[in-house]
Amino acid sequence: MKPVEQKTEKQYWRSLDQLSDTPEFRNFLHREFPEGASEFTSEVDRRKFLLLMAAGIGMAGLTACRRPIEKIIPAAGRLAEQIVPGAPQHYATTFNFGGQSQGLLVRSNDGRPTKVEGNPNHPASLGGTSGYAQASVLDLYDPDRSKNVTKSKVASKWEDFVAAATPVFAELKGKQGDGLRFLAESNSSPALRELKDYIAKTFPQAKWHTYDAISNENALSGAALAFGQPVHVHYAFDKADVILALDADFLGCDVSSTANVKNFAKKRRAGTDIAAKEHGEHGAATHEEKPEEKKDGEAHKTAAEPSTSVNPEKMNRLYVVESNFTVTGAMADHRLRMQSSKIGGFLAALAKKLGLTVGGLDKNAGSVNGNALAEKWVAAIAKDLTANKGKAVVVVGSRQPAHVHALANLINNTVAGDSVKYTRAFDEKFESGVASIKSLVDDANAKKVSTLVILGGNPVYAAPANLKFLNALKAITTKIHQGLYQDETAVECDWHINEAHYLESWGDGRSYDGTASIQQPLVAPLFNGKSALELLAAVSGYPQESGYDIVKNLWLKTLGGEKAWNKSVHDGVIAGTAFPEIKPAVNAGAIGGALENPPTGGVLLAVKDDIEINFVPDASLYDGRFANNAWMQEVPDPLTKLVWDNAALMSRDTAERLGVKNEDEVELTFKGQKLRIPVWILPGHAPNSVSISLGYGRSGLGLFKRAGKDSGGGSNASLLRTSDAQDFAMGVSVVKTGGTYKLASTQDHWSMEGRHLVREATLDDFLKKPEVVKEMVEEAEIFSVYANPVNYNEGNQWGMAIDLNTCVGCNACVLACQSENNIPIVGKDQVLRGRSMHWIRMDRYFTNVPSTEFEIGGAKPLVFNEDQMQAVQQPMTCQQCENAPCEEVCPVAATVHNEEGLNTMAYNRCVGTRYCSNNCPFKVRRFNYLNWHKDMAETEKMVQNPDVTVRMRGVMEKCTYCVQRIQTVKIQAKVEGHRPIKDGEITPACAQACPADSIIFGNINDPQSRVAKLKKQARDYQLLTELNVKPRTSYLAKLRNVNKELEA
Amino acid sequence: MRASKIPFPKWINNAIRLALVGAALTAGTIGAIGKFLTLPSSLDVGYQPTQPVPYSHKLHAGEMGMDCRFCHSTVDKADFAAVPPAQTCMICHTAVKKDSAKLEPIRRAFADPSKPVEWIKIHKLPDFVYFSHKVHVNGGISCVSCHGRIDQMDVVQQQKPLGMAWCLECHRNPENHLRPKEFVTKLDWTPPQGTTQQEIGMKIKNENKIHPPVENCAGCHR
Repeated sequence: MKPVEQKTEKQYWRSLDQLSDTPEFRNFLHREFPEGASEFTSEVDRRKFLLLMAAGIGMAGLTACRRPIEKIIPAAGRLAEQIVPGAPQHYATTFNFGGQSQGLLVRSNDGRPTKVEGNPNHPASLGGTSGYAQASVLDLYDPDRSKNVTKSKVASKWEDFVAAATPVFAELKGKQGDGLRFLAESNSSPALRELKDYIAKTFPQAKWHTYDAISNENALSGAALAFGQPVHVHYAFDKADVILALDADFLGCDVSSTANVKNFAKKRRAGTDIAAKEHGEHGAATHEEKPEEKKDGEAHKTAAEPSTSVNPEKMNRLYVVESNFTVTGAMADHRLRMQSSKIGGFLAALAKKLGLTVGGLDKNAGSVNGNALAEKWVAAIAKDLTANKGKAVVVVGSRQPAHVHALANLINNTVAGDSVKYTRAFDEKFESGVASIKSLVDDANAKKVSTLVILGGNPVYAAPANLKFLNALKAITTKIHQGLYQDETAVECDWHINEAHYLESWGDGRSYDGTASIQQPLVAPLFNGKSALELLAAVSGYPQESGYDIVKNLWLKTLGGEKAWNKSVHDGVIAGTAFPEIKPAVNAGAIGGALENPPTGGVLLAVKDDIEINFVPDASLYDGRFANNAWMQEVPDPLTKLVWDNAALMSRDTAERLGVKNEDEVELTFKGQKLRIPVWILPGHAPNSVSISLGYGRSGLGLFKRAGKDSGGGSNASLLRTSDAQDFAMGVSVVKTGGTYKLASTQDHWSMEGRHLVREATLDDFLKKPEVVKEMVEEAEIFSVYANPVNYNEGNQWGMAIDLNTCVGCNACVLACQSENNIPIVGKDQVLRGRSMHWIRMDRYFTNVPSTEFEIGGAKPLVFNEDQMQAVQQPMTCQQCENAPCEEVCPVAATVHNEEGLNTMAYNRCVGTRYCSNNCPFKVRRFNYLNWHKDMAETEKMVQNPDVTVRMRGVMEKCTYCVQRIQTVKIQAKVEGHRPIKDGEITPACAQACPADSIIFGNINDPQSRVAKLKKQARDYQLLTELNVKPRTSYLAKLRNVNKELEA
Repeated sequence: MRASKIPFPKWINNAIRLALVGAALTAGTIGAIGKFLTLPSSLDVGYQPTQPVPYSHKLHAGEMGMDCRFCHSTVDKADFAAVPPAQTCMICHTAVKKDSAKLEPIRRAFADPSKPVEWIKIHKLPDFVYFSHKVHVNGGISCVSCHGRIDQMDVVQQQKPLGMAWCLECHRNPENHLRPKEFVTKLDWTPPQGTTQQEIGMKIKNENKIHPPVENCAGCHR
């Protein structure tokens, strides 16, 4: 690879090191395994190892004679008739997260919840799940969970708490609840609402405060501004042809992203499914006769006619303007980087261009004045929105202030049509969380609060730094905290009640559209935890005590009978509970008023070169609630590919201006608060802007205590976050400390050495000439020297198609695979050695649009232009090659083919030569360098899938298309009279979790199967066909629906 | 030819002979160990532990003719053949031999279901082998093929080696064991007069297209 020179074509690269071809990168690339991967980590050297081995073999002879005695313990007691010991069951339940709920189907293996799947009946899941939901099952078994009630950090009992609390609350009741406060996170649960109303009746003077580290309150206040009531705004992405997303990560970290991705993907497939000619067969048709020239020409003609398009609908077009580089930005057809504080101005300029007349537009639009690129964008988008009136939508992210939301509501009122829907908010009495916690702090400092009940959340860690929440907390006499962990808040409270996990307790919740569902436990509380409902019932004297009684009694009133209740619990949705759609009228005057006087003066007017700070939700840890979840710590961030740490993200030009490079430690100072954090350069980040994700820098986490030093953990962004700068603000100072901090990023691991793995075309080019995808790589004429011993034309032949045009790179598949296949966690130190174990590697390639004349941030135009950076995500896992190179080199035949075209692994045969991995052109094999399960806690073992072998040290492993699921369905088909297997009956974990349905698995021998049909599309291509490996997985090329006016 | 041109000294001849003998001895030792490790006796054939309750399969399944599935009720529904809880025993033993001292552990487990009887596992496969009872039983493989004549054992013992080579014998030639599904729990079943096991087995194999995994590792290892 030569250094990148100026080219007109797009280039694909994973890291800046690769782009500039540094010696470190070349060294990394040229080793068979990453440096240090094959070396011992501990003090044990080779000599000592041999000594121990010799001793071990000698000892082995002594112990091997004895057979270990194993016990069979029959299932205790009388079992329900439908429960068959040893056969997994699925139960519907509800995952409450970020103030909304997602319906799930959770698999239970003999009473242990082991795997989370989406509930197809639930509107917020539609069969898919978020990565957060996938990882939530691990929290249940977390050995660091709080295991008992504590009183002043000393172990106690629930009964003791109730005994101690009863007189306190009886006294409060006498005072009408004066001095009693509750602090909770937002929750859509109707049962919790019922308890809240009961408390309001019993303790009329008591106050309920709500605070979320990441909240939707800006959108609600924006709606309150625009419509006079805090309505929920939903975007029907399956009806939108043009989408403008402003700082909105609606495909990524947003709470309702699963449904968003599902609907968005529908419009991403529309109009792109053109059948290919001459590519009907699976395999690259490499050794067959070359299609004649004439035929090729004919294929052109027919394909170019619109009638060949199966779906007459249009593919959508997504514009993204954002500061941080998010997965939504990576999906964009056009992406413009811009500081968050200027985005309101961008929208105002757009409103002006659209001809809207409200006050304050000029004042706001000032922030993009003189920005030629932004002006060009405003003109082009205004034209596109107008042309697609009724099918266009403007989405504003929750980090943008209320008046920007209000303005977007106004614009949507004219351009959106039915692609925007409104329903009433969960709580009509909407109060801002920041204001709410501020009033609590003020009252506590004024000694007006005697008793505080904290339900979940971690305010000591997450509350705005300037409020000094901890000081206020200390001023309260009785502090009761309930949570899953003994976290920063718990240790400051008098009482801590260990909370029951959502898979252990009864509850309910509402999805974004109001659809209610029951949260059904799958297991009795492992540590006798209590749910928030039970705690509130106990302290308030609610008639029912147990969560089950509370929830059931409440819903029986609405549902009417036992039968309807059972059906609701079984289905995972309560029919007819969605809120009706409303059509609120826009109050342009109020919006104009807000625009004239934007709430925070500092937001819009920035000094030139002033640096902005952005607080963003973390793609893995969200707000820190998953900080002790090892799966979440180790899953690489979708864009930075960082694991186990966060960093100060900034663009390359900003880093150059500040004179910092990757891993340099900087000190950020904002309003007197200081934070030390390493730098990570994210190409395409907004200039003069720094983004820090929330949720890191937690203190006292058991995960890191066990992992030892240098295990990461990141820096706490909340230390800089003030009540008037919850989302972003100007005026942070960045000073290099001179120190460095090692960050673990997987972006260069298993590099593909610049081979053409991603194929991308513009929609126009593709529609003009569908062969463009196939022609991107010249197909060599290849033939095999020997006949394949297996006949792949008979029976079930498994294959997979992955659509790059719909894949957003959300990591749900990576986590689902980890959960299903017992994939271990290795820790930061081992990731740095290139030993991470994920079977699915989410490859993220940055792509640079050819340079334009619009250089704003000082990027070197000849290298790449950061203003319109794009990225492509490609899930890469075992391709199940028919001519698998790995099999040829295995000396013990541990990896061999089966008659269904799978490249199987017999783990018990593997002796760990690693030849297979060396010979794998896709670098998708993972080696167990150490026994990763050695230190696994007893509870953590319970999350393992009993249908998959737990691999030991010295064994190679990889994706098997979830062969355990294939076998289960095959066995069931045999039991049911040797019937054929239906298409869609087998779903690998990744495909099942995928919210975009990008991954389709099936029998490629059946021409009616979905996968066979996808493989006949013109967008379908296989990787590295020149090697004649004949992969069973193929990809559908990415298309960008380019607006000609924005092309350089 | 002059002696000095010989490239090797003379003692090398003896050294080579010695080395060959040594190599043969080593190979022989390794072979013998291998053979020993795969002997049926090393593979736990004959393993016959004492169970907490001296339950006699000979009495219950043999003399009284109880069907295997009365107790092992999930054998045709799940991958595992469940061992019954004390409740199953007490269906009869609340009336029959209700004061027998041998049944004390069963009565205790019945009284407190949270402390079930801990039976000792006899037929054991390694953790990396995934054997499904339901696919075998529903396909027409009798219990007797792997467990032997349990109905004649007072104390159950392992009769078959349960090693991979033994599994593959049947996977290669399932006709030697296939029988009509209704007779899988009839351990003393023999082919009706005039037919042979092979004929019946071939018929079932062809009718149901039974191709057990032979070279498909993922059939049992995943």
